[in-house]
Amino acid sequence: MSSERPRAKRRRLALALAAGLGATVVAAADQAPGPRFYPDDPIPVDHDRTQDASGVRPQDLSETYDFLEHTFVARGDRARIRAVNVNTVDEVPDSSWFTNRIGRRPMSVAEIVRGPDRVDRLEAPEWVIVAGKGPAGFQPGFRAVDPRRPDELFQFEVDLEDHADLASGAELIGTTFYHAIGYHVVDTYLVNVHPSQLRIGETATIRDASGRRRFAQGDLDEVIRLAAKNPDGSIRMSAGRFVEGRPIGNFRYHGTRPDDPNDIHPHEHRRELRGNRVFCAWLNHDDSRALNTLEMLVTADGRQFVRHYMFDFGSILGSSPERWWSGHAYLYEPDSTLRGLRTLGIWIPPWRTMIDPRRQSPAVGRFDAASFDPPAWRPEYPNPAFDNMRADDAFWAARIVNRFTDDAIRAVVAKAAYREAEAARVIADALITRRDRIARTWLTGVNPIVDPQLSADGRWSFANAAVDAGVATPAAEYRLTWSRFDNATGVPVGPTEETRAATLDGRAPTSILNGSEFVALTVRSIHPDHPVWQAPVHIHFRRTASGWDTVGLEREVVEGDGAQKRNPIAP
Amino acid sequence: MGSSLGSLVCVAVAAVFGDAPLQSPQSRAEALEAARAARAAALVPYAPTTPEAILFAIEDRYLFERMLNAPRGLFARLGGLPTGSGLAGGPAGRYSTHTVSATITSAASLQRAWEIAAALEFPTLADDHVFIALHGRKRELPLEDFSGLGPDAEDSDRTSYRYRDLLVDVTAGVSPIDSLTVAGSFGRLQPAVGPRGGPAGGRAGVPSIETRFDDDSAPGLDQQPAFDRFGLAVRVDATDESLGSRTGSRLDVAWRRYVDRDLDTYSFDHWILDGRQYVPILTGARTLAVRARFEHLAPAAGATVPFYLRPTLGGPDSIRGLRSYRFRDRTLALLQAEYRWPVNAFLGGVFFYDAGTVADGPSRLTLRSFTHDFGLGLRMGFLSQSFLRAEVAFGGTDGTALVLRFGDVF
Repeated sequence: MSSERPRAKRRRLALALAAGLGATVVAAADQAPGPRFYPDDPIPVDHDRTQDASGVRPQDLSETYDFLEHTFVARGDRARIRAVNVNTVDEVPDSSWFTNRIGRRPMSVAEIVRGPDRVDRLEAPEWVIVAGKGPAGFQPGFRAVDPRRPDELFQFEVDLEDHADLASGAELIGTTFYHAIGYHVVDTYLVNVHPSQLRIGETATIRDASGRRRFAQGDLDEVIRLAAKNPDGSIRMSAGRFVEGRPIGNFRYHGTRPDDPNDIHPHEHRRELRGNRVFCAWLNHDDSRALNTLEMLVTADGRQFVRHYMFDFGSILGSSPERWWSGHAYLYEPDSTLRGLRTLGIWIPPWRTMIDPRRQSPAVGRFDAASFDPPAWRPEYPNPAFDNMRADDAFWAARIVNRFTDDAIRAVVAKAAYREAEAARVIADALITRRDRIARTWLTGVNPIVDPQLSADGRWSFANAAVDAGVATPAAEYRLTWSRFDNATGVPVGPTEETRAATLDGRAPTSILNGSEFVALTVRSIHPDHPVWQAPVHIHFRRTASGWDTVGLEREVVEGDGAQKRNPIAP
Repeated sequence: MGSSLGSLVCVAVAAVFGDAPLQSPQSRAEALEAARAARAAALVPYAPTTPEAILFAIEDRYLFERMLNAPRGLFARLGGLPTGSGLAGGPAGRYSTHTVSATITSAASLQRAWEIAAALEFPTLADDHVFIALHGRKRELPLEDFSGLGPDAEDSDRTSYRYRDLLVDVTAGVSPIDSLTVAGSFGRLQPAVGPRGGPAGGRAGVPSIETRFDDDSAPGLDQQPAFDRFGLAVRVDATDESLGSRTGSRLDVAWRRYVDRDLDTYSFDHWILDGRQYVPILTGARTLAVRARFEHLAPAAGATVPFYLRPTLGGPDSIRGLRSYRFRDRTLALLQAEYRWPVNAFLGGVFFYDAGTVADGPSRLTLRSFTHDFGLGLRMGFLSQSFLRAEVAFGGTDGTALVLRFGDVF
């Protein structure tokens, strides 16, 4: 357990930089000289659009290269450091990457379900196809507009004939949850379109191995042939809007975009990208890779900046049933490969036999709760940000997941309009159980003190997120260490006072509070079942005219915190 | 992203050591903005590495498809000649739309086997339920193996012969439901057999066919007529390959009549019965695959079946422990079983067992004459589809055999 003070860490960073190491080149602005806490801390918003990004150029991403690069090379900085884009109270400020929603304020079930939708229903008497879908993704589709609103372009994707509702349901569920969590997503709708409502535009084109050519009736016939049909001959599709702006490629889960002046935080150290591992585990979004992200150059207030989207959820919830490794193994893992060969197939991973898609509705993919082990969950290939996820990142994300009530989960699943009630029930039940398992795993993986407050009359209080979630019994004792804090130097000053409490509130020592502008509080929680709770949470209060504001919160994490099981490829 | 790291270093150094823009921000927002301003002065365009650029070009321009199986234009044909012909390739061209496809391909091997083939196909007629295809080919295989007829053919009698043919077939089929296809065909086959060809000397130690066999022991060796041929085939396919483990069954029944146009000596009926069953076990973690194939060539009254059209046993797709074309005769029985287990997404393992025999008629098939082998191997591909397989077979009469082959067995 590290007892190193933040100021000392800062000095070490400076030395590392001076030596040209660059391995811990993070949190540039956070580590600038100056006070530990600025007057505007904690910032709720990172205005990461201050620099004009009009010089950004589209980037191409090779799917094969991305797989090879991340499977055989540990890309990105792997320093076990705190996420660099959190504010001083350990939260993710709103930015071009993330907008706090359910994690910051209550959301009604109706608001969650509505998600990013701009209209109640997407309907048109006729859809004009303007282009083929392109090669990416499993689902056949095309791009079309409602001729009454030709500026609004949508990408339509169908479910495959043997798996009606499977991918479109996943798309709707993923989009809705990811929006409520806080990511930028495109508004996506379920539509039922009869082939007679489809018309091929005169200038429609498609690009394939023949090159770019005219979109032909045969191309449309092929999509229709592969699609699951409704009894009336119509076809259920997901329709995702092309959002405003100019597409400039995908964002990587490591490094920064070298031509974007606002992109100062290495992606592998961004909390919302590290913590995305938890959300992906919950939804079995194993296709969570750079290719399924989107960057758009948008204009606001006369300035251009890059907005970052999560994109394409059609393969979450195990929606590619033939991918038996989904969520449980990388496409390639040297250890399990050697073991499989060495044992001549006798060894079978336990999860391998726990789910059989053939025995359930075709609308349900490889998605269950029984085989779900949160720390062991894996995407299809290593993701640097996921590999860097620490227990405090996972805790942040798990709190968000835990805010989705049973009713909210069932309502989101209902939005996907599965025609088989049993499919909806199975998926919702699995989501609920997986949510609970995430809470048990990651809400207890750090000292779960949250919402610390210090009142004007010197009474302190905080909450225990794990206890509140019902996944842990109350701690036997909380050990609090109080001291004054010098904001200019960033270190505690003067004598310390230690108090102990069996409850979540009490009175702070007046000897510390009186005459102090800043107060530092370290909390250790004593629980026989959770020894990691003894890792301190460092809290800082600042005196205001009306009392005390919480300006700092940092959790120390235990090395080898078990937030995730080892990536066999990571160093 | 190396360049981005470099620029970030500059920003961070400036921040930590107090370059002018970051010297004394008065707020967190100012500090962040100053860091971004510093970065703005050091932007560089994204520069993909050479491998990344190459791989992107391959994907973006569909280069593999264009090179090996282009829907329109020229491409390269790789392989496609019968086993034993050696590595083959050649130029090809195609023009296709959703309703029609016209293809011409060619291939030649170092063993001087070659083929030119053309196809005109209408694969999606009647809303995808009907297809019509016209196929033609001319080819020469200069080093075909023949060791004699029957299950007792001695390997020491191994010889080579040259086989040429000109074939034109028209096939039409209907698929009323996904799992059922019925097809009929008619066409003409013009074969020619002669002494071995190929590189000087042929295969070392393998003489030409006429040195050991004559028209009695190798019917059809002296004269080869043209054949009219027509037939029917039915396939019932209830396999499900969309799941990780293959499951279901497939049955093929085919009949084709060969009518000797010139000599009235070699007319016969060719029957094929081929059944496959895929059994997922341990909730699909493993697959047991079984195949049974039976072929019989029934000569017309007073006729005989030419040796070069009789089914053969041995090789990577039948008895893997036997050399290709090791046995041949009018009747063939083949049983194959495989236990398959996936190791990862790209690699799978397999244990296999093969048994088979040939005979001069169904009544002469005996269990005693069956040849067996067993072995293990690796399959490389993705999901349940194998791209390449490497196997080692034991127990065949030819000793331990190594197989390296594109594609699956069954």
